[in-house]
Amino acid sequence: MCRVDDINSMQRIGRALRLFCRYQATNLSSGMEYRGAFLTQVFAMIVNNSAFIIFWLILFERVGTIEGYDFSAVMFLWAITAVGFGIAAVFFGNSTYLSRIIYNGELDVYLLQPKPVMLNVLMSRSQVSGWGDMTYGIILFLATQPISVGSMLLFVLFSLLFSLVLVSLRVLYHSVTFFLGNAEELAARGSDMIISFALYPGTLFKGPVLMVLHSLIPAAFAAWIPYEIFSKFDLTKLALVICFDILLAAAALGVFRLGLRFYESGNRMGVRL
Amino acid sequence: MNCVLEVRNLEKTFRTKIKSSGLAASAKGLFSPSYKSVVAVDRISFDVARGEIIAFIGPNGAGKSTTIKMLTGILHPDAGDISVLGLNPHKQRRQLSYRIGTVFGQKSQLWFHLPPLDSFNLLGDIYDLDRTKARKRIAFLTEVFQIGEYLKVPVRKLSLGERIRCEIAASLIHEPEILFLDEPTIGLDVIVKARIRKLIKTINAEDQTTIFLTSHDTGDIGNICRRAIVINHGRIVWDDTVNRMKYSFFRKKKLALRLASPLKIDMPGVEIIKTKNSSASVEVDLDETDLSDVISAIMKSNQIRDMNISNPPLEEVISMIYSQDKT
Amino acid sequence: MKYARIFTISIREQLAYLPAMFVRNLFFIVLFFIFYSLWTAIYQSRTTLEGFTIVQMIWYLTFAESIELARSGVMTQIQDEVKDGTVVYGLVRPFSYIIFKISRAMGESIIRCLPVFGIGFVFAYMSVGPLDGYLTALPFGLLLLIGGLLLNVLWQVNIGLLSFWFEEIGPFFWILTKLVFIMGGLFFPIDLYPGWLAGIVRYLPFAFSAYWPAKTLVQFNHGVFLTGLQGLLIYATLLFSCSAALFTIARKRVHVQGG
Repeated sequence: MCRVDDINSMQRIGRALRLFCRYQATNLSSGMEYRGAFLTQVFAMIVNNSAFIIFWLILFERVGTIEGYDFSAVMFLWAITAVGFGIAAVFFGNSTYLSRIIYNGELDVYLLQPKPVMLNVLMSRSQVSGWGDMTYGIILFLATQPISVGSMLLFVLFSLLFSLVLVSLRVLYHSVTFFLGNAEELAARGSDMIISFALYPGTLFKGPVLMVLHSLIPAAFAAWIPYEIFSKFDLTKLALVICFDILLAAAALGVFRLGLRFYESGNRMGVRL
Repeated sequence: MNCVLEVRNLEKTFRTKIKSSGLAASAKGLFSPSYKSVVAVDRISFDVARGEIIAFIGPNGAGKSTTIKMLTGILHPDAGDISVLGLNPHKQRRQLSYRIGTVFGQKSQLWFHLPPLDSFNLLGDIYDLDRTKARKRIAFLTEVFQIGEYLKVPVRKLSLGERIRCEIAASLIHEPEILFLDEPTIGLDVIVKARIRKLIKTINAEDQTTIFLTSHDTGDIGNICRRAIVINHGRIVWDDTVNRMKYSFFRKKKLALRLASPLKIDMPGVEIIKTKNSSASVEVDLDETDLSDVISAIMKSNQIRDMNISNPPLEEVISMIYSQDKT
Repeated sequence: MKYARIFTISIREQLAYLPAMFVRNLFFIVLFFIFYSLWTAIYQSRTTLEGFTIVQMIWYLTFAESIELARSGVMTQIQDEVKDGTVVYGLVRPFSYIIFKISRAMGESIIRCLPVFGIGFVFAYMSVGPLDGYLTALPFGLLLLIGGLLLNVLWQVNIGLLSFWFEEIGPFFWILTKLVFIMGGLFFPIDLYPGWLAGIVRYLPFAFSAYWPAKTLVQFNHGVFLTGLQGLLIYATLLFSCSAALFTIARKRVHVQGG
């Protein structure tokens, strides 16, 4: 019916967008079927996040500031983390299941489709509860941060970048499955850790740990430096963050592709063929 | 171009780590692992013409799945050439994917939580199909596969047979020129299997789609395919029409007998398979003796109440082919 | 020879679980690390906070968290049993069923408590050194700590029993854990709370799951211990009676519906 050589780039982008929207629409409708699960997840998220708001409120009331951070600063971290997490869950919902997909050979189905494998896999599932996280993050931002055109733009940018870092990190860790066997736990831990650290003031951590927090668990680039930029705009820092994020994404794509080649040569570790 | 698939001297070897038992061996395994090479596909060659229905048969581990993966481009060969519709499956995989369809028994193309219709629409977009054309095509396939009533039921609620019908329909939305099916009837009951086979034949007749299927169910071969390739230990041991397969190997006949008294016979070329009081089952090798001789011999000392002469089942034929390959 | 082999096999089996154990404990390590970083930073500009020195604060956290993170799976156990019907066996002797569940859960909690406490202990010791006066506090504090574990178990048993009425009991559990978090003084002593809130929250059951045991251990005096003990006994009895009541009502309900 249709040949790939016939279409030009504009059409290609158009089609990609159309597919993306289709993914979202169908995933949303399937999510609605599990309305119960969706509601409980959102509820749990609200309960959990509210508890932390109270925690920080009381603590800051008692101690003033902590290493340069105040209540509003910590809420900024929460806001971009929540929205970033939500974006990752909604638009790249398979990012947490990648190891399983590789391990079970489900990758084959995606290899046989005429679309870029990594994006296809990541986008073909959507965790609908992520919309809850996104909404929460936006409301939190509007309630606790100074509102201006600039601040909102930065908020959107940093939320998007956070999700980029999160998804890239997951892809990187999950890709270990190609080479060493099921890395699902590893990736889940890495994912949890970057989120955990991102929710606390970056200035708390000193010494050698900082190296890790700028690399393996790049909470610094995902949340803390963005906060620095948000409170006092610095173009160099912004460029640094964007560079790092792009490099990370490129690395993730590269490692994934390498893993794919390994997968296609058939020498998988303990995987069902 | 009449030849849609050309395979020349295809080879594939897998290296697997040898896991040894014992603490010391495990520790050694961590630092200097030893590997075992398994030749999955050992220099096979064959051609497939447009519109053929061809079955790739072999026991487990024979190399069927490996071959079909190489043909579709998801596994790359160690040596040899493959040309599918003039393209190199591994190097031109994306281009090829627009023109081939696949149904892998255990792996589903359908989204588990969604109704098949949603999956069909999604696939329409994945294959860059024009929306109106896609809709018409889906309607057509729904009709042919008679899946209208399941179209809006989430896939997870469908039975295996219903799901497979939807899977095959899904694989045909973009009108592929070749359809690859890997063990499509596995796990299905007899009636459903017959239905699926009929559908496959219909597709082939209607759209001239070349069908390439792997199976170890001989019923698939008998009922759908005109040509069969038998593969064992990574090598092709038979490549010819199913008819010829049936006739070449009918050098044995099976006799199911109901007699007046227990069977007693001792003749070269006659093997008693089962005997119990007044019934017996006997295999006659036509290379060594004549059916009429055997029957007369039995009638000499007994009375035949009922008799049924049959060909060995295709399964046995295939096993024979396998065992012949002990070279 | 045979025992040597059994021994090595057993070691290998345990080693096989190492990755899973490591992963679970990694979470604790990260948690404690974050908290200790937080409090070290807070104490940079002060020596005491509401009467707590940094040594006391860090040890307070260690104890409070050990209780909380040592949760057993008794809630899901009960839920599963209600869902698949095996709870029928318990219906015959409700009293012993509940006691059985509690004792089993306590055993589980105590075992789970150990590695958590171990990690916390290491962190605390390395960052602030030993706790003053811990020897005197220890027997009393440990008693309340076990009491805290018991309270948590009782809460979970009650929530588990709610699965007779509710499909999803998860939400109840989450609310409970957050209540303990906020009102139990899990992340810092209730002494830090604004006066009006502290006054109320101190005597709510949640405080006896974390605050009172931990406070007894780090700022021991008999008054604190006695309050902790009293509250513990009152709430444990209440929760226990509640579970017994729930179970009896559930039993009637099951009979009416015919299982």
